Amino acid sequence: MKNQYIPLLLILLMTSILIGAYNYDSSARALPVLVAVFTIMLLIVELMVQAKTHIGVRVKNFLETEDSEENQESISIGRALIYSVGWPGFLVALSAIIGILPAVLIYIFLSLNIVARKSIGRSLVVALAMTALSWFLFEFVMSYQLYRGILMNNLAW
Amino acid sequence: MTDTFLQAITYLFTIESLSYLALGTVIGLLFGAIPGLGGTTALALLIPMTFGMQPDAAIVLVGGIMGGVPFGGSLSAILLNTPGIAPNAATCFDGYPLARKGKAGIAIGAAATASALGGLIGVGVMLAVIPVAKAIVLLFGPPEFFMLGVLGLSAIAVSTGGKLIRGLISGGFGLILAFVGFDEVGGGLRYTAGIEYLWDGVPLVPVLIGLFAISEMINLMAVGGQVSTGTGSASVGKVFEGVQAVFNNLATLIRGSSIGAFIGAVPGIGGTVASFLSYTVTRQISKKPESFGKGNIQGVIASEAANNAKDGGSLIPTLAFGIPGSAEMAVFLGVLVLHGFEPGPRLLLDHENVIYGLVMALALSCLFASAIGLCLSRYLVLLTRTDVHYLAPIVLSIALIGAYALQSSFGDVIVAMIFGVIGYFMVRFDYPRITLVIALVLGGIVERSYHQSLMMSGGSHSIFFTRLVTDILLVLIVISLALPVFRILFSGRRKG
Repeated sequence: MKNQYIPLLLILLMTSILIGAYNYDSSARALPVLVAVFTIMLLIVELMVQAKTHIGVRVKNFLETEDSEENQESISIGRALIYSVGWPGFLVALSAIIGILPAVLIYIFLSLNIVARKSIGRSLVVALAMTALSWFLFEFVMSYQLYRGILMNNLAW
Repeated sequence: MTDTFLQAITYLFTIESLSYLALGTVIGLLFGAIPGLGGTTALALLIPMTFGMQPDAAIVLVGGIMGGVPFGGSLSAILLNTPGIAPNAATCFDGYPLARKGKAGIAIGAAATASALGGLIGVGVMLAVIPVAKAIVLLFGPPEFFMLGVLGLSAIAVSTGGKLIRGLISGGFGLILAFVGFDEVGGGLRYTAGIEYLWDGVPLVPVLIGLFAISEMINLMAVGGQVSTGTGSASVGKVFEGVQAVFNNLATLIRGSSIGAFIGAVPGIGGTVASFLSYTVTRQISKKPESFGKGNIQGVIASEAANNAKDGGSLIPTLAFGIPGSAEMAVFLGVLVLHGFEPGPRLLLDHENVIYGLVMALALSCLFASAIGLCLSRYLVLLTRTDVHYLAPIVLSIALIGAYALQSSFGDVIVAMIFGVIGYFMVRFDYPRITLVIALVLGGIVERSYHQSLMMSGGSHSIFFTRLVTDILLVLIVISLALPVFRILFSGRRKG
């Protein structure tokens, strides 16, 4: 992914925040406007640095600013999205539907079995042990009632 | 002061408190020994579990974790050449060569003793500074706190090295996040997008869990493999020789601890600089500099003493002014907020017992960590060989449960996960997370102080420039922002 896309995306986001600030009265927007304007200016500088424009190169040399290195370049953005958004998103969605503990059981089992390619038996044992430990620690010892999920709440209703 | 101090000691030496301290220390050792986890992740994960605890007990548990992490990290640095946490990297230089020579026990004994004594010296510095900090805090009004908040943000952004611009950008987004929710001055709502959950603002603790615990796990899952690729052996012996070596090199210990305590007190600099600086200074003044990097025990003592002493130092700006100097301290502030303490001067003035309790817990945990760590060292090192495919989903699940358990709100789970993803991409695209968190912590204080100052002056901004302390702080802000320029000019002249 080209590094200049990130500041560009952030400029759009901060600009919408700046525009949004004008919905509030003058005292409420005083600092948000100041911060947004200042951040947009910095983002423009960062954009020039990453795009390696004439001014950007001079700023980079002057401040000894590092190029925004994309860490773990060997991991493609698609794979990164699957790990960062896909799996955690799946866990959250599952928790919302069937409740936290069953979701943890299924999530650990699937991530061990599918991502780590562990055997079904081993994945199941680890997932069951972890779920039991979570129940023991949070529900039994600390007396928290963990979220039961939309499905279970509707059934209870 | 004496009464509060004695109260803190009395509480600390109860069975309940010592148990929490031991538990915290073991957790700290565990998280410190496993590269990629560290104290920030440990604290972020543990915050929700302290919710049902008494504040005193929670503070002791946290003190145990903070004391245990640095020594845990030194074990994997010495035995596997893989620093558990970044500041332990300097320990690798001489610790691992010693282990290769079959002297791992000596290195571990020296690291344990230097950690314990360095930690105690750092705590001693903290205790000595508390009365002075109290006197300074009393001179501060809203304009001074506004300027101090700005100084904290600029100092931390500058300390991100070659990422000054990206550090400031992260800080800008952190401040905007701090403005979300009910506006104390105008009385309206800002940036809530009609979501009721955001009326109280973006909750700090789920953000911390997401940015530091979840993002690290996503990172581990994406990379895969083992936590550590070190090939050293986990055999440990001759520990007592290492303990003795520290007492034979007391000057190295005291110098390293002093550097650690001083560097720790400067927001944003952190343990890595402290331990490397201590290591470099020790090497430069040594009569045998060529022996460093080949297994000189002084290298281990210097870096470990500084690494542990910095905790005492970094508590000074965190507790006295509410300015966390590092990510770990920012998460620690999250613990205080969760237990109803407002970070900043009121904490120092009204809750001295909390501060002394923490300081004493930190001191004792340094001793606990060294004692427990020595007993468990060979087992702790085995943990670093864990397959991350087991570790990551388990820690991710605990983070999710912890986020929910905070206030039984599924919104917190969603926030933690969103910030986990944001944190992962911040690491991937090299945007510092620390400035975002510190801006989020400081945003409320900065805005409140800004409006209070304007009320005091009848709307005139001159109040920020016409008071002695604000002027001093302004000069410090200018110096901190101009430092990179001075550094370049200086290095250019030197090269010329």
